[in-house]
Amino acid sequence: MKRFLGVAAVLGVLGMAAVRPAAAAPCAPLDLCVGPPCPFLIQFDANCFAHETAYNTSTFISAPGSRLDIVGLITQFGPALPFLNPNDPNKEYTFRMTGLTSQGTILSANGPTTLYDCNYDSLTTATFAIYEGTPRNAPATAAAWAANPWGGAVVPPNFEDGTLILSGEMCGFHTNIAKTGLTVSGSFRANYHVTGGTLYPYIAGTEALLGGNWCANLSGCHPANYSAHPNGKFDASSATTAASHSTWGRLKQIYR
Amino acid sequence: MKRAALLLLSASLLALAGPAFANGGDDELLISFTGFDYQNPNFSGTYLDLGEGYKVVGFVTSSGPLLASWIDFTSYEYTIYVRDLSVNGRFFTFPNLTVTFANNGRGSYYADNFPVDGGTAATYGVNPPNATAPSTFTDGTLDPNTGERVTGDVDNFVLVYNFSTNQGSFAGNMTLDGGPALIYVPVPQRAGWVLGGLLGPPNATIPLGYDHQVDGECRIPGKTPAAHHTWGAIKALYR
Repeated sequence: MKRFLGVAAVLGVLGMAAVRPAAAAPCAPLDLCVGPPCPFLIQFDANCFAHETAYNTSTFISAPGSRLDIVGLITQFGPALPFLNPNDPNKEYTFRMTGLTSQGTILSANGPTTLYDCNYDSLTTATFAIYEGTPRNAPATAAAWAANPWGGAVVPPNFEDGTLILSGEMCGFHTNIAKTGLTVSGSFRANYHVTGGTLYPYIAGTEALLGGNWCANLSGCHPANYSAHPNGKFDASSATTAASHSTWGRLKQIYR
Repeated sequence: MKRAALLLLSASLLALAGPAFANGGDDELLISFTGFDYQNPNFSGTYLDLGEGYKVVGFVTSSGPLLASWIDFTSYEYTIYVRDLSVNGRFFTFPNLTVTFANNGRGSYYADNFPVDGGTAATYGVNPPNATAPSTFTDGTLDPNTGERVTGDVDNFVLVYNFSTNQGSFAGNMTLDGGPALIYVPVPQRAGWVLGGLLGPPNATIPLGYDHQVDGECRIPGKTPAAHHTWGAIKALYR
């Protein structure tokens, strides 16, 4: 009876967590980390691009109200999700970040550097969704990206097909672009937490950082029609423990 | 005569044209990396004071098309080390910091066997430089596929950081000039860039003694589009 109650309680908590309402701003404090260093949760690299509805790629200016979307292919999963293989030739792991509304780029200067700072998510709830899809149908080469501008038949739809394995919210999404002479660099940063998806129980409770490099220059680091090339990761935290798949039989044995 | 002058002018302009960000062409990923940065030497309490050094150690997370056939994540551990960057300019107006560096920094990526095959796992440790960093990020074994694979000279390196949003970035020109895997990068594509995004505290992932979490890329110019033509067609261009 005790065992039954324990299992029921666990299932109840999982069920409630899967449908819990969206958290409101301001951003929750970040988790501490058992490390060092804390492992990453999800890494994305070359095949990730941003699109904005009212953004000037020559001036790096995002107009207030401009809507930012990001799509990408995942290249690595950290120790908390060891059973996912982004190199599986029959599967692809994709994501979309959306609901990011620009508050408008703010220009400032420091010495030889012009800075372009933009807050994105304080007007709406910004969300992300990660999918496991079969077959591989998202652009994965420069030529494929160039052939598939945002808003077409492939992008974003092919980044949102398959099983929704993780979804959640972002808070405090901020981009910072710096231009010093001909040198342009940039970064993005946000907090994230997971609220749903089939793999939610594996990383429930994580409040961690999402961020990395934000390449917005005109050298060709992003295809025409896209506004920037993010390269970064979802960090793990102490709430993100290593997990493995099991069977009901094995689980029952633990309680015998 | 007019044609000759035009040709001379075109040739000289082509010779002068160096790598620049705002060239409108396509560039491509060489490698992508993640890691942490630190100051060394670090003799002042001021972050990246004049004369101090800047270093990054980390792991390669993926490669672009040129190296994809030559990087095997199932057999080797791949790491990066950016070093020899000395601060020669510092501008600070709260919350923004801009730091410029003297030319001739270096950046490399390395391969090492996994410990089961006799290699050493790259380990950050704390308060770098230490017993494991950067040494375990730069070592290899007798396996000829290990050790430094590609290295390059870093110029015009600039780092910016915002102490209010706790994020920043760096960028520099990187000219690839050494390492056994350099042969896989065509000569016209070796003058590229190193780019990185920085996430600072509050950030529990940063080991003690390191300053920021780094996510970055080494990018190179893409292939110049080419088309087959006859001599006759080329001559016709100048008639």
